[in-house]
Amino acid sequence: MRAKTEADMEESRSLGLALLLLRRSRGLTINQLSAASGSSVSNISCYESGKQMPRLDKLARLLGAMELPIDAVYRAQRLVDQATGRGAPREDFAPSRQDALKLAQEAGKAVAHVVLAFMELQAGGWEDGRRGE
Amino acid sequence: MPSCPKSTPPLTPAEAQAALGMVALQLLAVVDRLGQIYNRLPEPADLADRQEGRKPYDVATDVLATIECVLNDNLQPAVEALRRSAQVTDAELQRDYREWLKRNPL
Repeated sequence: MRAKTEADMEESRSLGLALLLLRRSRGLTINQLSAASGSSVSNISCYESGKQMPRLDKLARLLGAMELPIDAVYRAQRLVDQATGRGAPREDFAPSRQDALKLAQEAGKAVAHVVLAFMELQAGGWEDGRRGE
Repeated sequence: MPSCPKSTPPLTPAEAQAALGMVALQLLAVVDRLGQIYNRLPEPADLADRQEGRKPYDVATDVLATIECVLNDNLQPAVEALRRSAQVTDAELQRDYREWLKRNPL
């Protein structure tokens, strides 16, 4: 049996943050997502906080309830990883608003919402000179 | 996989199934115990804010959420899987395989 490693926990945390941002981008409360998906509020909260990794069937139901394809969460997670420096140096994630909108056209509206929501969570957001246009 | 002393004699499949059934019962006792802890711990007044991410978890929120997650995602599926495997027969597995082949010709 393999013990949970720090890398596993990092993976849970970034997937959880991606899920949370996707839910917020859809304008859903955790109670609304719970009712729509059949997962309990506590379970969703555990996933979003990275305490527990959802099983694939539960992840599919959560994304289905948000009317998103299953790969949306992995795209969002990749953005989160880049933005937080997990997948690449933090300085590498400096998309302009124009770049994000282009990304949105390519990857789908939900991912754009994730990028925008994430940037809003960052101090300075789009107005930050380092990341802004 | 867990290590097993080499001196331990091998089990027959039937013995292994009986052992799985016992482990499932032991897990059910754990499920019951966790349910008791869950029911006896009062919910914090601001549970919704903490679950929504507007406030950090406190210990009570963490314990309640952990119990619910472990029950729903780990223990209950484990009990079901162990019980199924403890009762399954070669005839059922062969029938399942034939049905699987009909749906998914190799």
